[in-house]
Amino acid sequence: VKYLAQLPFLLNATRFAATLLQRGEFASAFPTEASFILHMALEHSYDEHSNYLAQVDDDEWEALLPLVAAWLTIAGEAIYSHCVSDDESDGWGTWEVQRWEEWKKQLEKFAKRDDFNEECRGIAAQTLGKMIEIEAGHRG
Amino acid sequence: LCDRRTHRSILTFPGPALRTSARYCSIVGSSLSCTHHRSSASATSVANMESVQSYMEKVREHTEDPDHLRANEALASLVEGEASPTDTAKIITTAYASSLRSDRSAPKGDRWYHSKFHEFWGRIFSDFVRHHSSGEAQERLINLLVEISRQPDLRWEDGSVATTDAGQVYWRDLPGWEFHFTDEGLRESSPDFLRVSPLTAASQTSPPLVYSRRLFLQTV
Repeated sequence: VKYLAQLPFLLNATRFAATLLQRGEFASAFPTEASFILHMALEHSYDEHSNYLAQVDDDEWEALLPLVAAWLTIAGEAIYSHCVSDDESDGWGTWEVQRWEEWKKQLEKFAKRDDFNEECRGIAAQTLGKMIEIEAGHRG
Repeated sequence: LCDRRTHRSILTFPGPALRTSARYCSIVGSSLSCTHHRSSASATSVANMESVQSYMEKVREHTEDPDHLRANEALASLVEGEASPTDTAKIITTAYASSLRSDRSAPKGDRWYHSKFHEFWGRIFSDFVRHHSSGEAQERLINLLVEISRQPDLRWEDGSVATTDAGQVYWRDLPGWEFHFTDEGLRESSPDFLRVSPLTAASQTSPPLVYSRRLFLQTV
């Protein structure tokens, strides 16, 4: 599976982009990128056979979950504050609190999935933990 | 190319109890306030697969272009901590200034897409980002972006401020940065099933940049 060999490189690039997104510097293209990865990984219904992602195998989860973790952990605060604000004039478009909630639900499910390896389950659980931490920080 | 097994060996951690947490820390790097796993995380700088020197040799094999070579050497010194972001920004903007001035006479349309400064983002800067996982190196590269944007405006030969056809100013708007980093830094190294982003769809009419991919495949 060729792309897993590329994952460390993609992950480095994603961490770099997420850092800029969090800081709001030179990052106007990155909300779209983050949105795309989060959508692909966390917003599909996995029960429907019509969705090709219903067929994703372990390898694809091993690629997707680290990317999700990088976006939501490094840029999570920026992402959350755009999800909870109603301002759509800032180029972030469709970032809504419903999406954030949906990601949490999916990650919670992933953390318990028997067909995921331990590493994937752990990444899902820790990303979820970070999201809850971000919400608490935002309130407090 | 390494297969799944080889890749796993890069990511494997000594103790099973630590494995998941340390893996998570290596994903999110220094941005995570996690002290108890820091040593494990830094020990697994997953993508520092080769030294900057051997990387530079590969670059030399693939390009004879003196401007790109100068930019490559400047970036190598920067990530090694031998040069400041300010000095590096000066070297890079100086290296590409004259080629940008001559590209101005090319037909309108995608002349800037093909300019060497724009190639720099996709082929050189992106490759450095992809090959450096340490927080320090990434921070230096971020500071370089800031410093390039602070360089005095480039002027055309008639003295007017240099901009792209869309009006982005060299250097302060970092023309080409986001497009090329997204396309080549993020998209090109993505697995096939993640390659259908709106941005990629929009750029599919552009010619593929073969150089970066070839270099990338050789370094894996």
